[in-house]
Amino acid sequence: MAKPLASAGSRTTSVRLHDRFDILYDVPIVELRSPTAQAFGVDDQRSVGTSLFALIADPTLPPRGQELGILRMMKHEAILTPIDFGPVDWVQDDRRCLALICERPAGGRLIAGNDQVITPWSDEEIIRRLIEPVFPGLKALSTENTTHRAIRPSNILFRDAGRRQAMLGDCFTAPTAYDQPIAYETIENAMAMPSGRGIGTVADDLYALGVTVLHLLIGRQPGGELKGDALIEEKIRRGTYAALCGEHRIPTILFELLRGLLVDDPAERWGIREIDLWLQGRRMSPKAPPSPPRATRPIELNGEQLYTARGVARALVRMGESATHIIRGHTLEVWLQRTLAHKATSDNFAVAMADVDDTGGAPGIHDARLLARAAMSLDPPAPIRYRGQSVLPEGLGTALAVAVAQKSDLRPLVEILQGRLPQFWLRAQPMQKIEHPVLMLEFDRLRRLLDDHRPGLGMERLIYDANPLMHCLSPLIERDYVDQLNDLLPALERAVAGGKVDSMVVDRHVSAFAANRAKSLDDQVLTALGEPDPATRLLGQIYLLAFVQAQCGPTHLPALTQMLGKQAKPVIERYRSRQTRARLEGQLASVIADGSLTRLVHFLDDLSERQADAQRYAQAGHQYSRAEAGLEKIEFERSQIDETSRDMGSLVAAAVSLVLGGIAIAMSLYHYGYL
Amino acid sequence: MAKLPAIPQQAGMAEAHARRLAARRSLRPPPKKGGGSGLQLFVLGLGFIGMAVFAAPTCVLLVFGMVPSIVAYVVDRGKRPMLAFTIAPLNLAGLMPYLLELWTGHDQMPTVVHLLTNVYVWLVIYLAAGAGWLVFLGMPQVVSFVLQRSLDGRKGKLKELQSKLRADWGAQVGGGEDLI
Repeated sequence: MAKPLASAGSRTTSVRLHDRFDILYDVPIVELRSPTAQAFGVDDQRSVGTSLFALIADPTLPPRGQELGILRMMKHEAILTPIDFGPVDWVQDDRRCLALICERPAGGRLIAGNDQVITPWSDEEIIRRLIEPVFPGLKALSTENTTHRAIRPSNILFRDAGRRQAMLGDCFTAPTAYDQPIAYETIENAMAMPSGRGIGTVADDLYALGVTVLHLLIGRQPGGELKGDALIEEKIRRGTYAALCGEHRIPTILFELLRGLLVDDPAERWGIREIDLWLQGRRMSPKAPPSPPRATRPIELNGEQLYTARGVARALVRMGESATHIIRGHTLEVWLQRTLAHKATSDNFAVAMADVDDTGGAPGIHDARLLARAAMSLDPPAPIRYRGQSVLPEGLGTALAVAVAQKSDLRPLVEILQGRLPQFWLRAQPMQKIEHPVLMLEFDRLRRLLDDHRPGLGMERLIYDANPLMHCLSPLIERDYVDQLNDLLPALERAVAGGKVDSMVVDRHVSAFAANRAKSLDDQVLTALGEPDPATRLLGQIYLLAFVQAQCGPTHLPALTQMLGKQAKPVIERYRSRQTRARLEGQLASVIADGSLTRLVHFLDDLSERQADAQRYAQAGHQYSRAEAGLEKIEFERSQIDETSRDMGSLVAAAVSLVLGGIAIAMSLYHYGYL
Repeated sequence: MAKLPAIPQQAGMAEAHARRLAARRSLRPPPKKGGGSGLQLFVLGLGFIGMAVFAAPTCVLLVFGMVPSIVAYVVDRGKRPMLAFTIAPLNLAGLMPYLLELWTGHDQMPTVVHLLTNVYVWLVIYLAAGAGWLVFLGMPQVVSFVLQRSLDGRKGKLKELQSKLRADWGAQVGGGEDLI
């Protein structure tokens, strides 16, 4: 992604992206805005005659990072794809936001809202204006092994002014299927909360296409007055086709298509190949999906008479943790084994009851996990339902990111991972897919990540790992919308210069973001950040920021260097030599003035100097010990001095006497002439 | 048996050890001068008898003149008779002029009598021996003074070194563990 540059262009009411696109924030385009992104006019400085518009994404939602890259490369006419994107200074919200430049569809939006009632389209119109133009896009997405997950009438645009050629609208400014009404989502996806639906498959897109076709056919949102859980219940009870079509008469030409697309079993649902053949005129009759196992006698739970395992699972979830006594009791187990008599379900239930992986947590957590496992064993394709949260394993990362960005309770989502519920969900699936073992390993990795409480890891790291384009959520720079490593240091520099930071510039989000984006960051830096010793922690901060500066620049960061350098006293005091400390303290000001964190870190933590300091300190220690031993010896000698003096004195006296006597004798001999 | 770890010597233990050693040394009876020195005594006696036979005047003068040294040798109960070794050279130096006078004269035994009856001869000889005694008594104090000075000097240097190390490396250099 190109480096974002936000600056005023020729107009004062515009903001420029990447030195090319002037986003005109005084020219809103109401008909092109989506629930999670506002639309504005764009002036292209290198215009090639194409009309453009900009989508300004809601900064509280993570965009679909991987899909954004794929769509940008695809540039398919049947799908709204971004030409360019990047953060811009968004004056209206007094912050930076992600802007996405797209080619402006000439025909505008099909309907403004999903509840809008329109004149029903004819079957021919639906095929010519919707299915035929949109289908190549879906085919291309399938080839790229990705999904749209935002197919609904209010997100259908027309690429031509005559509104004859439909195209799929924005699917990248919000998490997967975030704005999809329940009617347009499969039963399992509809059960999941909007932020936890996961990327899904092309089958989910085709299901949504089927509901969209039905919407156009009947002129209003299918499902009638039913909303929310009631609609899901109706879909479960009657099947999607029956629940949504109701009493409406479906034209023969579309009957097969809708029957094929609205099959609830994704394995039996029409795929790309079937629709391709259907468009070529080949008529097929969709297979009737096998009905779920149904008991001969119901089980009564909470006043409800239930015949299916899915119904029991939903009833248990509705009852909450009070349902655990039913799960642990014999009645349900016996009903599953003898009355429902579906071996796979009763086996799954037995595994849920005896899951050895569930090792810890308070009794409440244990009960909630048991309930979640029981629900998964009874209804494997349904999302993980745990303490009011309902997520599909693939949507867990997005759900966490949304919860953090919207400051809602994270604990249940974290507990889902800690309780290894995604792994249980994968094991419980009746159809094991090729990607399941990989996902299992990935969830194990994420759980380990979650259990590692060092800065740069833990829940924050999980968010950035699971959401590739998620911007840094550190309160210091959240409004700067830092989504690339290149932008991290300038944003932190601005925060420090603006007086937002007193001491700790690298918080858990900054460290996790940097560790996610800079894959080669040494693990020891993260360990240092979590150390209780303030000097080590500060050094960890400087190391991390210096690493980013060395990789991405900029070369001059005066405010950051000043702030971190001023706190460097404890780091300097790690040197034992007072002389070294004094020298470093004397030179620190000039290093700070240089504004380079790389230089600062080398100055404060020079390995050869530290080794020499340690060596000299050890030598000094030995010298001190030897001096101490010498002093002890002196005291010992002093205690012995009387005896020593006596012994030595007598010897010296004898020697002195011998010398004096010798001299006197020699003088006598000399006197008498013997010498 | 497994090797036991070395127990570090506590402060003051050296002093106590020294005191114990000193006490043990004071309790030990003084070594006998006989025994090993019996042969020496025999040789000395034989020499003395020889000298008495061949140089009787010198022998008489030596016996009377060296009385302080002989007394010192007898009363000194130490392993080495340092008192006698200190007195003897000066005692001999005091006697030497009279010995030389005896050896240079002709009528030897009367000369010995003449000398031994002269109070000034006795005074010279005993004063010389007394000087030796004084040297013996005074020298330990001198040595103690010199040793004290030497110890003070060494202690001062070591204290100065420790102060310098503390100034360079902080108080931790003298105690605690190396944290790096």
